Amino acid sequence: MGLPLDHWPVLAGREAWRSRWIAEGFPRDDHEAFHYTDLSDLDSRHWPLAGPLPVDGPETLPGLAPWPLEALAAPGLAEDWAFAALNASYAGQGLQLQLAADQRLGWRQAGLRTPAGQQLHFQHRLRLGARAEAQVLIDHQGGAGGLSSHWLEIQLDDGAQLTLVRVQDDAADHQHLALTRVQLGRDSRLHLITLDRGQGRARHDLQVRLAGRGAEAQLDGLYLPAGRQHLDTQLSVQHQAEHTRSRQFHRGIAADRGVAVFNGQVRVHRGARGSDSDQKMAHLLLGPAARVNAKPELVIDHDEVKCAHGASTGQLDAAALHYLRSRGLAQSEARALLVAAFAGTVLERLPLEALRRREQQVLLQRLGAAAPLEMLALEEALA
Amino acid sequence: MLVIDQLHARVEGKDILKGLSLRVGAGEVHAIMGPNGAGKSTLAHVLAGREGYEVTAGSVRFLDQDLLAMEPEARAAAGVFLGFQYPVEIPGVSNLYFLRAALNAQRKRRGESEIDAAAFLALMRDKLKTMGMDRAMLQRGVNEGFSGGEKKRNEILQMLVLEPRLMVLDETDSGLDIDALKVVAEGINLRRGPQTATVLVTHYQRLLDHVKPDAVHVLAGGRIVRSGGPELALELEARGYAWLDAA
Repeated sequence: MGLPLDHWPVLAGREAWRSRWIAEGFPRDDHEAFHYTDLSDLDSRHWPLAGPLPVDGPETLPGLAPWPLEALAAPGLAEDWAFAALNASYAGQGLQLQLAADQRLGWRQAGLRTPAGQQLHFQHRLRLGARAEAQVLIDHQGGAGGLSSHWLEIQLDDGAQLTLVRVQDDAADHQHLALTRVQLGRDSRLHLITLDRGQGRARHDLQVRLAGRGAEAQLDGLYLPAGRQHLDTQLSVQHQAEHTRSRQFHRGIAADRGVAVFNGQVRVHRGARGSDSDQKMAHLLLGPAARVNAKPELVIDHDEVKCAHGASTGQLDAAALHYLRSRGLAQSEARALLVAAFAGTVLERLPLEALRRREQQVLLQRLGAAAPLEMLALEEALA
Repeated sequence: MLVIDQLHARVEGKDILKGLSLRVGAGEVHAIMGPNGAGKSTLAHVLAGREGYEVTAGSVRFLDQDLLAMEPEARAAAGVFLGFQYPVEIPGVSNLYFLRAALNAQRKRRGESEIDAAAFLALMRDKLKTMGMDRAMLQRGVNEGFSGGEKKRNEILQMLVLEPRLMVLDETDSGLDIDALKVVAEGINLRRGPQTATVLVTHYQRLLDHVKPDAVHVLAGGRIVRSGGPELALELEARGYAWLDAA
């Protein structure tokens, strides 16, 4: 069974990829990797292909340079990704970053705004040469009822350092399909922070390969499904070399009928002696209809390694709620404060003041709580 | 100020308070003592309005209001303060933000204007000094990583900042060394006055050496079984509680 052909445009030179996509279609829940995210309802939907986005995206935060989109010279195919053929059939633009050895780049910000009701596909490539350093922020703002796919391929050469903040803030009923692949060379460092607070459905496959000795990845994430949002993250961390290190810190808050799916696999391959991995995830359920499907998974093929993981799912602490109320905070305020504190453990990891403030503000706005800036100002006045 | 009449309460289906009556007038300090499991903490939680503490009969009036009909936050704004036996840790919410949010929430509910940042900081500096606490604690999470003694000091600090009319202190003296006990007692005495009332729930006489009570009550089996002056606490200290059953 394939997709209805006439719904999918044809681009010159990409007919084979398109045919493959038509034959494959959207995965359904009988596909193991999509057990909690059935996309078969999309088979019958239709999105016109949007024209290229303006290269200079939305305005940037103070202190960040704009990171313009570029036209793709040669689109590729991300094998083993459920949406590889779709993405390859239509991707026309992407973010490119190629740093030579020892080159350093300050903060850059890109904004990807898919128009409402349309589809748009991207392929981004980052390559940092030996000891190069970069810090980037990618904001995703998919339009209501739209569809977008994002393939981000990153290679860090020996000793390179990358900080990447990925924000997904799609509008209602947007379908967000993403693959992020990172390969880390010897002694390279990655700090990736993903913030998922969109209103639609998102599926993010995140694959990190610690391929060089001493490579290190810090992966932090916050996801906030509310309304009818559905956020599915499939994370895989592969320790392939000696003395590699990974740290994961994920927090999910599900409200209303929101669904969070988080599958975090850590694999320590044979030969990855002295590897060290730590995975922490915690989820907060804010309503009886909210759901979390979290699965930590540890596969160890080598002895002499250090692996730890912890996962919890629960509700707001009733004792803490009562304590706050007994001091005069209204129930709604007390709840918002506790949720903000829970999310704050991820937001405080954002390395950029302006970004941290922006995200705190968005979060507290969502929670309907007092202005966070007031809290920050108070602490600054005291310092 | 506080009139408790024939109060019955149950927790997890078990009757704990069985007809407790108590009157505390303005300007008074009452100590409530009694054996473990007598219902002392239950009384404290019922007064603060904790969920899961079900009042099955009786009444509690505070400043001529029906206290039991009020939400916990409304009780706080009306001037009721519970010093917790086990203060809760809340990582991610700083003491500073918490206290200001609490103070402003109470003021707002009473129709008063909010306190501005500068005035609040000045107030905090003053109260921290009284309690012998370090300013650095303000940036830390509420009670996060605090020792037992630090938590109890923090309760009294909150009490000084919030300026309640009725203070119910549930074993605030437990876990304190002698120096901390003196500081905590000084904090309690600072709030003593013709407009306030205090209920000290305690196991031991030693707090009462520093905070002289006007009345001492023995709570046993969910009721006040004996009341007297400060000398009753000394007698309990010397003889324990067993003689009361015989009497």
